[in-house]
Amino acid sequence: MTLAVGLVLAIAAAAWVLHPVVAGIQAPMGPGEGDETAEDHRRREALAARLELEYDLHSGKLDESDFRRWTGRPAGEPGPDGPAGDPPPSDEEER
Amino acid sequence: MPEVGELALWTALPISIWGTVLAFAGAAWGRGELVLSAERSVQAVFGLLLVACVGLGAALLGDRFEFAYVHLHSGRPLEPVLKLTALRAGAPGFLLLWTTFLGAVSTVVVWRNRKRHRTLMPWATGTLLAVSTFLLVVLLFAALPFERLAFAPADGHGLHPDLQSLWMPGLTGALLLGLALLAVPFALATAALLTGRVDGRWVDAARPWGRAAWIFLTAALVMTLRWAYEDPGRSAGWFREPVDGGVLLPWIVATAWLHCAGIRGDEGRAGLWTTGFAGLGVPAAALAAALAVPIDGVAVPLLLALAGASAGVFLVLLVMRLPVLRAGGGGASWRSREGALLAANALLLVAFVAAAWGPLGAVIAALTGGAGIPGAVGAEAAALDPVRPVTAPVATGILLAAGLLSLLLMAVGPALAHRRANLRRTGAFLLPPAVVAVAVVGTLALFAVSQAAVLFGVGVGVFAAVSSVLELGRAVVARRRIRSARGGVRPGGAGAQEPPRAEDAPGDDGVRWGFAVVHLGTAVAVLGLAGAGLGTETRESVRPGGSITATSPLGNVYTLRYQGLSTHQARNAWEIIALLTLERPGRPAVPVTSSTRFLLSPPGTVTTAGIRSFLLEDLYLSLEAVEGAPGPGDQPTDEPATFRVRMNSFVPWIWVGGGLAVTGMVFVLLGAGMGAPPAPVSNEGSGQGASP
Repeated sequence: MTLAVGLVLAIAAAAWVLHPVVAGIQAPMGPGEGDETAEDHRRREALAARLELEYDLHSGKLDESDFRRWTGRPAGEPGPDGPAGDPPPSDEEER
Repeated sequence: MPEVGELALWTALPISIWGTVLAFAGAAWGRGELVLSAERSVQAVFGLLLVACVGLGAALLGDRFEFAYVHLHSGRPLEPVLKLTALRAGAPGFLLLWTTFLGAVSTVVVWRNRKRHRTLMPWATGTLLAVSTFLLVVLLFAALPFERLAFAPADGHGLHPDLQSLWMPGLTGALLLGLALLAVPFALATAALLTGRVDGRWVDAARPWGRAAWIFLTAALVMTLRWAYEDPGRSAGWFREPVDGGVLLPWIVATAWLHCAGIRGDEGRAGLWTTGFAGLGVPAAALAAALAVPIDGVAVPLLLALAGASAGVFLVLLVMRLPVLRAGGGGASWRSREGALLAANALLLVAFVAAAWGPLGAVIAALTGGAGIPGAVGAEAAALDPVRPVTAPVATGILLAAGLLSLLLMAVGPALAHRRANLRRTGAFLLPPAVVAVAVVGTLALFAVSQAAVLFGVGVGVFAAVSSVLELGRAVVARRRIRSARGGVRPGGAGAQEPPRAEDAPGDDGVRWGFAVVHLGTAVAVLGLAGAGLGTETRESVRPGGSITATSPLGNVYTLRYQGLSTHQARNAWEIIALLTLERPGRPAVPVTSSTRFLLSPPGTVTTAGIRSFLLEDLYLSLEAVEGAPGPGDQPTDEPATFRVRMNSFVPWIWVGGGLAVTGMVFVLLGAGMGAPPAPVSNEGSGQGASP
């Protein structure tokens, strides 16, 4: 009895696993639903980073001048985009 | 049923190997049917492992002592819940549970990503199955839970006394789920390295799983501390004899990884760190498993081999992709929020090594019969004990110092601006928490608290707690100002001119506030841990009717009146229970009990402390000895009993802080969505300034 139950389990598991290969059922390959392209991702990260700067500005951690310098636009102005802002100075430059 | 379980386990191995090979082959050749077969292998392996778990559980509940595992870790007198607890008592059971939890998590990950992240998922599936395959090989050839004895003994050795705790099932479940979830960032990072898609997309896919891992590992850590706390023999030894290198190591990795994964718009430096810490996921889990099981076979060396092999393979892949990972770097200054978080992570790395040093040294010493590694303890201290690896004092000191300094940086980080902080403004933000911390530490010093470690811990905890509360306030104010600056209309809302953008995705506030609550909870828990060093202790013998007076370091006076003993015959133990009443001026008397259980299986005694918690302190009562202790069937005696009464300051804050931290991370998880597709991004406002 035990062996029979074990055997049924093993056969069922093997059938479940082998079925796609035998029947040629495909899993989706390549970019899927809602997947971002590299460009979309870069754009979203840039937006998220800008939101961080906007939050820093409104929570008092950042000066308006720094915000404008790094985003290329005044606070609260959503776009269209101006020219890219300056990157923050490196530690060495600052010194 | 156990026989079916064993057959299921043997069936799971070839299917797991098949799935591993087909996942990588399908991914390399772009063959969808091979990948689907591999994904179904994940489900099949999980189902078979579940059957094996049920089989072992049935063997334990059914007292099938012909199985060596049941004979070693269970006994007839044990209550059913304790028999099931024995599932985690030895290496075979613990590994079976871990592999099953890994199978469950892998199944959910594959199912949730059946239409998403399809470039990464086949490689990630192969990685998860490869880990499962390794564990199955260990289970079947080195730690078989269904190994039979030549005869069926009448009874078993019983369950280790320390494991006979009601915390154990929850603790084990949380730990194993945390370890299994930690494998997901590892698998996705491996997939990213294999495919060369090392931008932040894999981090987005892995982030919710890493957060879920952190929740369960934090819950496991808090339960572990509580479990040790309730045992009077271990309550003063947190992080000195951590069972729990086993819990602490993966928790440190999860914490550090979440810090990296939360950094936005700096995929170079953060990306390298994020990938690196993800690569510690499986090694840390393997180390945790090696520390959580008795060193009674080859399972532990094989787990150490898994840790080494997974770390080694990952390191090779990381080095191969290093130029790509470093190419996107730069941008943020070290004097920024990101810089503070990464510096905190560097300290967490030190804490990881320190936390691993002692317990691993003990394990290696026990395995080799030698002196272990410098700074760790010798083989004799490791003992063949499943729950008490021992850390060396030096390593503990480094661990505490690195942990506290990283907490300090975590508290400083949110006050710094993204990308580059303005020092003048940052100073203004940090001044109030610094002033409060100095005031509290100064007050404590005035009240004759002289332990430098306690003062430093309290100072850091207060600083971090106040910083977190201020950050919460700043988040509320900033959000209001942002909305006000936009005319009260969320971009993308009704009537708005602007199309929806990612920055307005629901949950942004939830994530920010959730993390502030996580930091607040961590700070409160650290305050509790630091304050625990201020405890006072009284040891007295009293007869029934007599009283003990204890004064806490905070000046509160408690009187305990001893009412007498009662006895209780449980299934696996004879128990004597001391009843005392706690009396405080102007308050009704409340009962407090402490008990000693004389276990039948295995023979031994376990004392359970009586704990009464107040806002600022715990009263901790333990029954040390009873003259003429009553045996089974005896009448209770009126002989004196000896009690130890500790007043543990701030300890309740550990549990409150742990609960807060877990709640905060649940908010983060719910706020961000469990792997929800990213919000749509318009071209407008994109690609400029903040993240070149």
